[in-house]
Amino acid sequence: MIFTAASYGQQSMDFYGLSSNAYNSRFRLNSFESNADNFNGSKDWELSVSFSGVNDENKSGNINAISFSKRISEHYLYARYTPGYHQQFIFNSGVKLVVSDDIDVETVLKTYLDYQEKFGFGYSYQFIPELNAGFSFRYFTQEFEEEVPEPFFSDTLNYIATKTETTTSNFWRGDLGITYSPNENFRLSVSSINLFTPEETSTAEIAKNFSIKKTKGFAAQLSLMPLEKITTTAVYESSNSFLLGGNFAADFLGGVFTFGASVFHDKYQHPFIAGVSPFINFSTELYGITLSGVKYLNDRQAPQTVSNLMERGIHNLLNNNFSYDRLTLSINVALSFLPAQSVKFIDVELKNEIYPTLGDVYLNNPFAVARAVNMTDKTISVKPYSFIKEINSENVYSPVVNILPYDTANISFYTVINLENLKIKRREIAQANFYLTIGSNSAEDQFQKPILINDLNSWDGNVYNLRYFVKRDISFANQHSKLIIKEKKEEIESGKYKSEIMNQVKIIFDDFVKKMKYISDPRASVETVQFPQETLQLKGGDCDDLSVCFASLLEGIGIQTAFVDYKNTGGVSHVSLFFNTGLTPEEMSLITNNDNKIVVRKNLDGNDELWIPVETTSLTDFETAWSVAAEMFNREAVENLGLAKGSVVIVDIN
Amino acid sequence: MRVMKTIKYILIASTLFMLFRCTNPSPTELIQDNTAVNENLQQIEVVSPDPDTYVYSNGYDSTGIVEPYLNKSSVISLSGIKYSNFDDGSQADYYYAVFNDKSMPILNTMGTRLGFWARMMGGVRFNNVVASPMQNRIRYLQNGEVHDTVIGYRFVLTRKMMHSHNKFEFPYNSKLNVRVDESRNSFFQIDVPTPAEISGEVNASGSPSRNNLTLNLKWNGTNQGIIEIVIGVLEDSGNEIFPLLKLTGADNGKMKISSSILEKLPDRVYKKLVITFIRRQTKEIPENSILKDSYIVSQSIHNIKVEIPD
Repeated sequence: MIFTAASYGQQSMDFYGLSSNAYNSRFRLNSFESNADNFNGSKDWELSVSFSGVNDENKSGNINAISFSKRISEHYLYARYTPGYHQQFIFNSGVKLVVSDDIDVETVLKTYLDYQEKFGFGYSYQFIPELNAGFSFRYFTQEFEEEVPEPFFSDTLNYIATKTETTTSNFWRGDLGITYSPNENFRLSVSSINLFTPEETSTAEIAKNFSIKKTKGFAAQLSLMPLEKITTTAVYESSNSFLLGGNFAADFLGGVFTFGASVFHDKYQHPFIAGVSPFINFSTELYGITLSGVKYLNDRQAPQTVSNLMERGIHNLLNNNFSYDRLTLSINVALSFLPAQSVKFIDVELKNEIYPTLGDVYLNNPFAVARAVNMTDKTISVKPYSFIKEINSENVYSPVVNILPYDTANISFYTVINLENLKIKRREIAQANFYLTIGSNSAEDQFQKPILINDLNSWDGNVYNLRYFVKRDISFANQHSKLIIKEKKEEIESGKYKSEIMNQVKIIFDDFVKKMKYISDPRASVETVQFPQETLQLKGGDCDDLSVCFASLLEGIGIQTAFVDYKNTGGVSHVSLFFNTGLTPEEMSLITNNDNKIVVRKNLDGNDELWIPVETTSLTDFETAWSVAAEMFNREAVENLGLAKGSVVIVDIN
Repeated sequence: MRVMKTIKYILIASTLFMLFRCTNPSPTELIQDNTAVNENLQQIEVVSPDPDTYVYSNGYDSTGIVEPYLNKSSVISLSGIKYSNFDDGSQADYYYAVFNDKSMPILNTMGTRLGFWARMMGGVRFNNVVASPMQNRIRYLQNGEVHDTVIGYRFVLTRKMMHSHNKFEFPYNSKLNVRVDESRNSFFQIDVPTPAEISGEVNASGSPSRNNLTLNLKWNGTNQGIIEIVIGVLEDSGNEIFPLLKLTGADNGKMKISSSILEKLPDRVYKKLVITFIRRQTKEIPENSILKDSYIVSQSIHNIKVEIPD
């Protein structure tokens, strides 16, 4: 995943603010400070320049940083020059030179401290789309100039002049970082702080007193997207500094407009919340513009002391006790020599409406098929995903498709329906969003198409899919059937049939039909099926409602069932039921001597078993329902060759 | 696509514009509140700016007053003096009073003022011990030669002289009574407060040959007021101290003299350094008819001869 949010902790200060999110991460909207693992969603070459205005005494402005980056497949290289990472101090050393009382010549010695981060470079590698790691190295210079007394003694004149002694203490800083982002809603990064700090050794006292502090530590950053286009970020540093913030992204004028803010607590600064950092960003395919700022909550114009500098020290050059309020304008420009877009949608064909209850159907059968074109001269692997807000809780990825150079290919989209968080109550039109990505989470192209989402009771008319209605209330059915069996235990044991299953089915059926009435479906453009619990509560239904409910009652206690689909018999489709007695043909006499009333079917082991047809709409008693169903099956399936012609189909529920 | 290209060029042009639109930030000015930064060094003063005119060792070894002369009508100096690592003696107290007649400046042939004629008084007593009037002898340089001359009188009392009188120790951290008799019926009397006794210690590290000689000074700091450290050298005679630099710092018990100061001392004096610790109190009084304008000082002085490593 390329989604890289910036962070503004004590060490993790970044001049882009928290402007990076999953929607604008085509550009690197952060730098080493907050993205030590260093990976990014840039496509090829990218140039970024930032200009900072600082609210110091001179209201100065300067180039803050210039950087180049280059993406080569899973490798990412980054280099930056940072003239704006510069801080200087001057103070009176406290030493006064007096040459002569008579001529009243006095000189006060001064000390100059100059800190700069000159340049840095980094490399990172994307192991898998969810995991990338990298390192960065940055070069710092420190120059300390002290005016010191230089006595001069001769035979005729004794004098004190001043001279400047310069001490340098330059060093490198190297860090490692790793980021794990299983999806665009979640991102966790861990990076080191001052892991490697090789330096030029200086024994000068001034270098010991005023060098940049290089305390080792780590930073952990968690970014979550609780709502669409809203990203929240929390950063913790081992120094007990932290940052909290978030951003909101919105499509705007063909690009993405992002705004937000963060607040940060810095162990080394006062007050507890040291400052606020608002930002806005506008990104298109070609460029990104970010305006970010830092407003400190204490008075940065108030005089500061040398003791303060010595005691608290400087831990980084962008954000410390002596930093001024700052406004930074950053411009990112894609200098890509690759086509801006590698793959593009031609069209998306919706294969079906969405019936939420038939959830698993869409795992095996695409609900949409897109036609896409590879616009490059290389074979590309396209990773598609889709998102329908009303039925999905997150992006649903579909299998990767390879497309030859300049070729087109069909790309199937599958989906997973989250019934628990279904956001619809009745049939409605939703927007299906389709995305194509190449190796990163940043979409190369996207397509939106309206799709009909049916309600939970809607059924596509395919008897095969009635199984989903049967299974929906299977635990309820189990309880219901067990209760009947328990209540009528003696009746079952002394039953008419010498088969316990037959007696159980008879008792359950007789109890079932006693309560039921046949009620036709309302006239509607789509068929609906009641869930078993609904049928029992409503005490009625049509053939598919009753078959589904009774099948559920039997399946609930482990009796195998199958639907018999009579297609368009006399202009009306009908669904009836079979159940498995578990008896062999040799045991037929235990239940009947009429072989027209049974159906022999092979089980998975290849052995014959006796199945009994039951017409659930025959709301009389079990024997009648059995006879009616057997008669209909013999007539339609056998005599009229329905099974051979395909007008009668037996559909196993399991 | 053309629009995008145009935007791209505008952005690059803006970037180039920003490159040339820079002003350097000014350094942040900090308030100095930390003596650790300068090793407690607050002031450095050349105390012998005119070595071709004045002999600065006049009385320095005993008084700690390094000025060749003081432009005051009355100078009263009360010094408790200690020596460490010196051949002769370890303690010497020295009290003196000089009464300049500012209407009679003493000039050399070049017209440079060497001092004033010091007038005689009826008498001077320190803690009721009578000081002896002595010739006020000064030395000066002319054409490279040392000349001696007498310019009036000074009243002196030393520990040695007190053996024959009522001997008293220098009353550190107390007061000392001074009485000046102009005539039989005219006198001026004052109690002069005295400072706490100072005891210094000098540790040398590094070496001149490696240009890293550092002197670490310690003393019994009082954390009140200031202290003066005088870097001097023993003249060839071995008795007189020639002062070179006066360093001033807080009386906090420590000071470091870095190599940048020491390495410029004349080569010939390196091995004969004397570090003088001076804790001083001055007594300000209004002008009066006897003393007129005055400089009254009491001080504790510790002279330490330092062995400098090669």
